[in-house]
Amino acid sequence: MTTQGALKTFHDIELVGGKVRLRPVRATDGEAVFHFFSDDRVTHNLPFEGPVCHEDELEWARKAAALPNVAPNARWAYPLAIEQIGQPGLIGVVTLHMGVHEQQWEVGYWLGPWHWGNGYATDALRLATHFAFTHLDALRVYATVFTRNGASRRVLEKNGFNLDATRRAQVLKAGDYLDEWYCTLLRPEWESRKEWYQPKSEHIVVLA
Amino acid sequence: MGDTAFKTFKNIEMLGERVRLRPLRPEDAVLAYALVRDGQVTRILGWDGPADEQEMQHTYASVGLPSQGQGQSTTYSFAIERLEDAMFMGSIAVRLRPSPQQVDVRYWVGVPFWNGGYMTDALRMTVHFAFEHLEAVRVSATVYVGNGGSKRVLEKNGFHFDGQMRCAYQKLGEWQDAWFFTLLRREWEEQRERYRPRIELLAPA
Repeated sequence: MTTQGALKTFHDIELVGGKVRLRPVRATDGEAVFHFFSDDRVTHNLPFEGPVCHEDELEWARKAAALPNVAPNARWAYPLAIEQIGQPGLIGVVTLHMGVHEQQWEVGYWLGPWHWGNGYATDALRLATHFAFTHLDALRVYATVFTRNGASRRVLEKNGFNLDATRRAQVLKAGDYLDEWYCTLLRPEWESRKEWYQPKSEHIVVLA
Repeated sequence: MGDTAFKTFKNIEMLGERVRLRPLRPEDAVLAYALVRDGQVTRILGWDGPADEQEMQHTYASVGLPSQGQGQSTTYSFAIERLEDAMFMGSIAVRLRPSPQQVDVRYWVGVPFWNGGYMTDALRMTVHFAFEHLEAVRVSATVYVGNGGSKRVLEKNGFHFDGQMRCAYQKLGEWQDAWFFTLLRREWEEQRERYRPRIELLAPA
């Protein structure tokens, strides 16, 4: 928590890509998040245990509406809603969590199953990567993915992430210890092709 | 599963081929500092190392066997002594993380004792302790890239190289890549006898 002073507070964030638009999560998004988390296909590949509780998600969205917010595990986080362009309504979330150091950011994401296979996650991760390196001054962005989730790994690889390690028995999920891929993208790698990550348009209002 | 009841011991002693492990004590700080202040040791520690002996004593104030769980900070730390003369050579510690059944091991031994097989013996018995007495499902270790000595100690004990995490840790102001190693319970079970100490004395609390 001592690094709080170094973290930026945003009044507004809008990142528009080729397929999706990212914006801050709003208190009213709780209902949609609950809807998606009630679907096993979504939570199957997320690193937390069910069951999902309606009140929890409403509470999560209420807290997430402040950027950055403190996640339940006490890490600073910027959760951003994923929307289709021209079609308001949350279809997923991409979140940047601060790692052990304020220049290390972990990115996590999920998308409603109806929206899989359209390149939305790839576009959302691309925008979030831009946000982390440009606006959070990240030195490194990293992500972890269950080894049963090949689609998610492809989303990372399309965005230039390197597979650093396959950590065996890393995550406890529903009573099983699962292997996990650990992927990273370093600042020099982002810099060498930063135009590729550039949003079509962005609107960022920094409070402090 | 999900049983977070964690084990408390009054005393633990494990005698191997070359070393003896016993709970680390605050009084070990003086000798530990004398060994750790060598740059070759400081460089490989998972933290920046003590600025002075006082900081080492402060760090050592709460070492040894935990009397209560402290989440991911729950640590069992041991002194590594040379078997023939009880010389203090270094320490090895296990932390329950990221979950209570996943055990992360960290260790160091003073430069005068490198390449004597001491660390390999110490890690061997610590693996036994983690799987046999803490019921670990996995033991993991993280080593800075380039620390070939530590890598060999892990490989001799059957650890698997999971990968190289780039820019994972900041050490003395610089970002370091790190090697990540794991040993799974089933791998330990296949040859559990080789990890067993010659003599062990465990006193449950």
